[in-house]
Amino acid sequence: MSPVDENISETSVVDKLFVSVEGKLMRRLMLALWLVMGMVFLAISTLTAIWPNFLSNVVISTLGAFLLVAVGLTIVAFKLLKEYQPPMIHFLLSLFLIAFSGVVFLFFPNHGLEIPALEGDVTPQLATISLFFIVTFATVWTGLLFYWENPAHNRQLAVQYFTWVSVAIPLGVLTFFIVYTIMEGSSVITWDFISSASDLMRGEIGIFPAIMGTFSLIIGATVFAVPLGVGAAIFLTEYAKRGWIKQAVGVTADCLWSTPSIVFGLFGYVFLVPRITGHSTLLAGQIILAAMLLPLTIATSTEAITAVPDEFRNGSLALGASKWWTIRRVVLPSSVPSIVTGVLLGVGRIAGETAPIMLIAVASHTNAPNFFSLSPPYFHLGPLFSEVDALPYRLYSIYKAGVGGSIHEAWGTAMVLIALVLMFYGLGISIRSYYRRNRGW
Amino acid sequence: MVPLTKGKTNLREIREKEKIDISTEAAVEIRNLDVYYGKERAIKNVSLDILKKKVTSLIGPSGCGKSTLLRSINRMNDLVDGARVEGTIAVDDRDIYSKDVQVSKLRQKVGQVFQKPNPFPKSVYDNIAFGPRAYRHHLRKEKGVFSSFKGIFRREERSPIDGRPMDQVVRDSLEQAALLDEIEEKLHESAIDLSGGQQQRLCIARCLATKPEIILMDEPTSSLDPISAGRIEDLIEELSQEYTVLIVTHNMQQAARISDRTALLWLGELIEMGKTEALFEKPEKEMTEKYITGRVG
Repeated sequence: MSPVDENISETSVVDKLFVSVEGKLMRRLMLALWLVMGMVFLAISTLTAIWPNFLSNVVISTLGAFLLVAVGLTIVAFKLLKEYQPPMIHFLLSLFLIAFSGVVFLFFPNHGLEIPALEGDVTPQLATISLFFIVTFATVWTGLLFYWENPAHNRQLAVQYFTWVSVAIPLGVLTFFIVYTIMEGSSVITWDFISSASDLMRGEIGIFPAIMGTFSLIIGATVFAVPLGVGAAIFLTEYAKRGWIKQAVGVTADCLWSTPSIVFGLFGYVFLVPRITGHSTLLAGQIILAAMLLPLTIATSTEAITAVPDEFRNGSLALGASKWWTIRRVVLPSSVPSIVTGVLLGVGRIAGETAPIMLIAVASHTNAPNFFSLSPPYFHLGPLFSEVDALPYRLYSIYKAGVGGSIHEAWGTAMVLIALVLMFYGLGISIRSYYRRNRGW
Repeated sequence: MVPLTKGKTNLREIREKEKIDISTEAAVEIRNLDVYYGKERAIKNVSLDILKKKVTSLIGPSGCGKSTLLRSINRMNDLVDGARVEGTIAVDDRDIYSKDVQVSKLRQKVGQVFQKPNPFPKSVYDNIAFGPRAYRHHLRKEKGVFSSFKGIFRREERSPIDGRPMDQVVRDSLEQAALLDEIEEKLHESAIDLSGGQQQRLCIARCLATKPEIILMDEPTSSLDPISAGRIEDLIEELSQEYTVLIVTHNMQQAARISDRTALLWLGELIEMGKTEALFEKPEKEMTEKYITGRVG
């Protein structure tokens, strides 16, 4: 029980109503309702943005309008009566909105995906937007009331609200994305879908070449970028300790990181493609993605190496170790977890990049890159110089051109892509937490 | 005493020319040493000898250059930006600032224990084997990559410094540092999990594994509790039978307890140096008396 909870229960009139029953419990309940309402409302807004038909039913519009009026009137009534209290408003608003969204969810299912456009009946959009403003207004108002009523304690409560909402919203968005993708995509995920190529003659869709293509791109990019990036970081932190060169490289890396990815693609198209084969190749894609990964690798590695305390370096040097031995045996082992985490986060990002590889590396429905074979010469470099398929590109081509499957296959592909990216993140996080235990500073 | 140096200064000649009388052999000879940090002169014309197999302590107020003097003996001052050394420091009659000195070998011979225990985030075993392994890397650089080719077929790892098996080196070093009994079962566990006093003794063991002749200690007990500090003090007294120890300390009682000779530094200058009892009981300089009795500093 925090001191805040104990201090806020005395003063107001209507508050005593609740307090007399189970004041704290009610308060908790209402806070919970308010939060749930916020999440649900967010979901409604997002759904409306995706499906214009979501709220397009006249009944819903009417209901929405009615609710707006009702909520407005309640607020005004309470204000006029000068008896309204924040908990009450929370309670009522929450009830209204939960009822509203429950009705929507129960009776008006998905009408399918269309490109949003403000055609025909725009009442639902307007209703949603107005509702959003009403809720925002009510929240701010409640916060202010809290503040006026008992500034010292309720300011803390208001801050608590705010932080909870700030946590809840991103979590809600992420959960919604993942859950929705799984809902839509899981129906097409089968072993064949993942492990085989498309056979257009027989009407079978498979994304195996795209998965392997994405893996080849990522692995190639990492192989190119990590030694360069870590080497640059070692140079910057251990050798060029001060001076303009360090700053120059740092600024360049930052600029490179914020360069739009399509510009990378353009440079690859102009400078790499004509010099490799003249057409899109896996190698060009790997090099360009490596260039995108490089600045993040430099930044995270520099940070990781800087974080290694100087005591370790001095201890090693004082034992007669050379500078390079110190770097290899003390500095790098201590900073590897952070470097790996940074690289994996970067890999998660480049795995989903479509723009740079679109021009220089990919084509729909190529075969999976096959570097190995059971007969001599066992290992080929041929796939480096031919086109590949990649998951984000496959997704793009299905959405944009309708090539290679229906909308369900697109969601399935998206699900695999998200799973891949999350897998990299998960790997990064688990490596970091595993090594953090062994790191004693 | 044959001078090993090929460097610019032969200490022996200087000694003969200036007729400096030294009764006991000196492990480190410092002559007219000036250390600058940029334009600031941190050590001002200090000359002193550190005798073999004795404990010498450096006392003085904060910022008087004790640590600087210490660090210039194993050339750790080279790592400080803008540090510059003038004058001569000789270890085994050899000027350590001459160009043909290999700093790595010097630091292997002149070990250092730091103020804050700084074990590497590795196992206890790897911490102690670190110095010998670094030395092997050094030999490889000197004699070529294939010099340690034979070692690949050896079943057990050997220390390249004295050729003993590494396991034995580790155990002996821990034994010497009075730590083996406590952590015999934990040899392959992380050194970070040890207590502060154990960590500091581990650092001393790590330093002993490279077979040093001189051990420099920069306030080794200042971050430890009194009991751990007491154990380190006992350890230092034991070590002084085999090693030359130079210890920087703020604690004058400690200096009086453990050291054979004491030097007082003041604002970069050497005020007085002599036998510890003499210095604490009958100081020659007024400044020394003031400092010891706590009237300045």
